[in-house]
Amino acid sequence: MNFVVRSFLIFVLSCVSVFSEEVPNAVLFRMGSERLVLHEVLESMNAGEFAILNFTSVNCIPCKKEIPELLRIAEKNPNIKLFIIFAESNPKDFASSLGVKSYYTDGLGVVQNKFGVKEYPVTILISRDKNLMSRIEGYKKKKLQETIQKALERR
Amino acid sequence: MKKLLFIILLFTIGLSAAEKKKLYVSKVIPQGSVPESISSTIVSRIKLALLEKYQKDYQIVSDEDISVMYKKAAELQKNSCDADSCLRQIAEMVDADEIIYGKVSVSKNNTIQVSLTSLSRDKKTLRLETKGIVEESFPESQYSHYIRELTLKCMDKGYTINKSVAFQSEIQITPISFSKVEGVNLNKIDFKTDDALLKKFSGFFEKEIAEADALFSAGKYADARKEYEELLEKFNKEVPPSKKPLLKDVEPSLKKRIGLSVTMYYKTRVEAVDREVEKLSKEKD
Repeated sequence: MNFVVRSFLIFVLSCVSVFSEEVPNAVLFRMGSERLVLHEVLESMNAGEFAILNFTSVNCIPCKKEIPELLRIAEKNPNIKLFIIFAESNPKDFASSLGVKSYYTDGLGVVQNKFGVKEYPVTILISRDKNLMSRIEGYKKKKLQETIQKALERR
Repeated sequence: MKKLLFIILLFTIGLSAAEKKKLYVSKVIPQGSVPESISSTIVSRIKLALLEKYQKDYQIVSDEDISVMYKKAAELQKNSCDADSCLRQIAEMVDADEIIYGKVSVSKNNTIQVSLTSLSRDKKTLRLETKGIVEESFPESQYSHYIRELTLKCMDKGYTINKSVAFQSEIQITPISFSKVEGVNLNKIDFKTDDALLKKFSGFFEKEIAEADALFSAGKYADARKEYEELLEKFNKEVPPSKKPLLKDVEPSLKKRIGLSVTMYYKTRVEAVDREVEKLSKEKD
């Protein structure tokens, strides 16, 4: 009996490890200077919290609508840690025009490459155990709201 | 059996093709009125020292290489980041294992102060840790020697900096060039004398010095230096003190020739090193 239980547990654990996808580690540069290691940030989060990486660009039209929506959702839900990552090195004016007080830059495209970002916006939800929860390409308000809501309920 | 041999062969190839670590040599930031050209000369010397000792283990890339290879990095370096932030972002871009950067300043008494820092970057955790910091002040003429020593110390904590510099020639820090060396066209020594014993000595020294001068003229500076030193030793040992004043030109002339041989020897070596750096830079381009 013990053997059967043990085998079943091993099977379940191996399935979990196969189906849960750990996100790549990357360095986020806050306002172009402060260096944050993504995995360290995730590890330091509290239970129930999760991260949203939003890859955006000053030239992206739907991003202008998406960013205020993300800021609104993050403000309402303290369990969401929002990281707005610009594809440009100096998006200061654009960011402040959208009310973004804290942003990250990836002018060399290192983080975007790691996450396979080719177009904007891309929004990625990551749990504190570094697993990919959801990935949304493009912006549709309803889809974004529903995906985040599901993630909040799962926590 | 064939399969086994094939596996062994694959394993051997795998071992020999072990990936080199990436070492990113960033800026040596000029402080105060230090010109940018000095900074880039120092970076070239660092690269050269690294290539000399660590070529097998490291793939070495510098800002210069990066600005050529990556358009975005060149733009970033120009406009959007300070030196520290640029360094860290580029280190991520090239996925460096180690990073070397530094600063250079010149003091009032014209000594150069260089400090170099090496960081190690864990590719998995992406943590940056300081591996070593070295700092040294030295006369401008000795920069080449000291940058090499500082680089080696930066890479290896156990390395002891050699502070006995072999030569003190007038090297301009950039571009590397020697000021005109007086007396490269060696003067003839006055060997005329009426003393019979001195005639014997002067005949010997005249012949020997002419042979050593021929080595010097042929660019064999190390051999010429050896000859001059042996002749000086013979002169001091074998010519009686009472006769030395009559051959007063010999000793200072030999000493001058030894000095010139040393200078010319290192000049050619530094020039060779310069050519190598230029060649490597062109290859990278």
